[in-house]
Amino acid sequence: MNGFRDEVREFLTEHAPDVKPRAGVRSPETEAELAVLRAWTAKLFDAGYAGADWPVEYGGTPGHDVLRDVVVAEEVARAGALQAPGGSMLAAQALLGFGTEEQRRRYLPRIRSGEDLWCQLFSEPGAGSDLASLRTKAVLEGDHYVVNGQKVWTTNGQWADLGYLLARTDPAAPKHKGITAFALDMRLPGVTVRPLREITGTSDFNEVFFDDVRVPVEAVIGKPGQGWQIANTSLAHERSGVGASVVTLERNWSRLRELAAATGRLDDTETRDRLAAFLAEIQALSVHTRLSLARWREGAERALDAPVAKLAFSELNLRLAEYALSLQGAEGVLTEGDPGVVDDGSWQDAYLYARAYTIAGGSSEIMRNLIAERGLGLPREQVGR
Amino acid sequence: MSGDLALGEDQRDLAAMALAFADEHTDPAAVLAGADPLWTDKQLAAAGDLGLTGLLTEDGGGTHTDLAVVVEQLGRTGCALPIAPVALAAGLAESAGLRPAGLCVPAVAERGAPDITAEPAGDSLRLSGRAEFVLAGAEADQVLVLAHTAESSVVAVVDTKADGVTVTPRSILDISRRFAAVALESAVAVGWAEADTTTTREAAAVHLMADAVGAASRLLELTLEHVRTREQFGRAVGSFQAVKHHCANMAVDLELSRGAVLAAMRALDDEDPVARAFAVSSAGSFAGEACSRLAGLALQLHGGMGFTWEQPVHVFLRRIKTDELLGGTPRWHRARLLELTGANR
Repeated sequence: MNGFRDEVREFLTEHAPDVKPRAGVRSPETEAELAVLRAWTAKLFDAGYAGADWPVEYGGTPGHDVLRDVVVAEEVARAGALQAPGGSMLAAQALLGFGTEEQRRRYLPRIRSGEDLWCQLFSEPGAGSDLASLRTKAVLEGDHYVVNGQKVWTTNGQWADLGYLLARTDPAAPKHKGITAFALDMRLPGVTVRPLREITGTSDFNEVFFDDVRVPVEAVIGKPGQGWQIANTSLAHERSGVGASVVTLERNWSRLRELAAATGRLDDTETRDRLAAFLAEIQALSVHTRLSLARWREGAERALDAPVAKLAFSELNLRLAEYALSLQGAEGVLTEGDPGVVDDGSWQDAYLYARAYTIAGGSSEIMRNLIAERGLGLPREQVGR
Repeated sequence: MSGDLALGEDQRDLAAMALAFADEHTDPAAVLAGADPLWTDKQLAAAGDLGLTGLLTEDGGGTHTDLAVVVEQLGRTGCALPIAPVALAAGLAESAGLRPAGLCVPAVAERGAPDITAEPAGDSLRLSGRAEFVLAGAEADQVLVLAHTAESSVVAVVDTKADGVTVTPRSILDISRRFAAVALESAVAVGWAEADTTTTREAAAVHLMADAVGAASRLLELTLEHVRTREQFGRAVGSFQAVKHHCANMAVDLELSRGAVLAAMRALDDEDPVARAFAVSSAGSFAGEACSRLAGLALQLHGGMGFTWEQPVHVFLRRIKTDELLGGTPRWHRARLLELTGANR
């Protein structure tokens, strides 16, 4: 695997687009940046670094090993390079697992070439961590579904050509059973995308509104009512990215050490103690991640493996950024644009963006519930009392 | 990439065997009653018959990882038997060509304290210095002293009854094991040899952390059992989210500690001394404190019961805090960790 790692590194050094380093997963800010993302997506697929786990007839790598995905994700994080768009990758998994032959032939090549950018239309204002309670409706009328409702936290929504939508098609069914997955054309009449401006001042996420949007029945992925199962199966493929979060922490730690040196605090005992404590915790998380990836590959993953990694990463990532600001003293209040700001304000950006990880993809509280209930077998919260 | 880290089938069997043995030879009531000694020669001999105390000898054929796997089970049961020190002494003595007699355990200065010094005097070797916390030091017939001459590191066998040797039982936080201070004032060694003692020193630290991980995993189990059955306000306290979140935090600390200690165990069997020191001090920095944090939550979640003498929670909490502070404090390990990154990373 080390040969492969070197190969990926070399590829990234040579080809990765030069983008402004920012914390977290960010959307393009301009048409030019969007074009860069599309071209980069195509390159990643051409090189076999994205979609390697797809069936060979759709361009996947013969004899693919999931460890390759882990290595790619780690090296992309190490290089601070762009990832292939998450929504596109997720939609591809749904199509591969549940789509029709016609859907696969139509969409997959365009995902590979970067021509189609997908967004994920899951979360709603009233359905965040409790996704199964989503309320966006799709009502069958002849050969069309009529969609009404609202989504939120849609990464790349403002640029997306297609949306991987979950909507409720059977209000009478139990809440996990009445959901259907769709491949929705974002240019259909009645789809309105409104960028949200976030804590970081940038717009990475969007609100998406559906007002009597008529979606042909051919857009259904899998069977009506199968949406929940499809979503969970496609989300499981995100596991290979957890190694990348450790790399991100290691990268941030190295920068933190440089920051300590630059601020003249590296010889201070207290600072050294804190730096070492962060490093030790990152190492511990790294081992946990490697062990749980191994269990996942062997099909022996434990229910607490993934939530432990997610919780530990997001909390540690936040503490690290907070510490970076405190190391800067009063100058820690400066932000991008101020002539006195340290590292172009990247630590302030990281400090603000770190909140996304403790909330998105299941908040830290939800992770703790998952660990306690599914991992440790504690009784479920009694609701509705 | 990870198969090299995870425990193998043999090690899982070894763990199961060690757990059964430690369970059989641990008497929690005797610990609470303050019995002294807490173990007998016969029990230690039984551990020897199973190969546990001889793991690191050539006949034993075990690795440091194997020994740490065993030690974790001792922590899990709160067992008093000094299996790790006896095994460490046996392995090091054999590789140095020494033949200690009777019960022999290592005597080593604490991390950060002055090393024990050895001075050749004609054909003999005289040792001076202190080892403050020697497990089974009071019961030992001999100690295997890890010391330094002006030129090199040596191991020396010293009779505990010899002139210049003072052994003082210590009163410490941990009530499940007995430690003694060994003071050497120009004590004459009965045998000695030059030897590389770094792995043994690192191993002593790793075994304490493995012990803490074992004890912590027991505390998490006890706590889960308690919160599942204990009712307040008409429902199991384990259904309250605040309680569940404490339990989840305990699980995170345990998982990450276990990983750190596993990497350290593996590094002991590795040749690269820098990688070894790095892994050991990562574990020493994180695992000791994390296990103590877990123990604190275990006590908290047991409520008033956790504060009573009869409940085993405090026995494990005491043991874990002891594991945390001996073998190098987390602070000591962190200082070393940062030095290592500057020099070698």
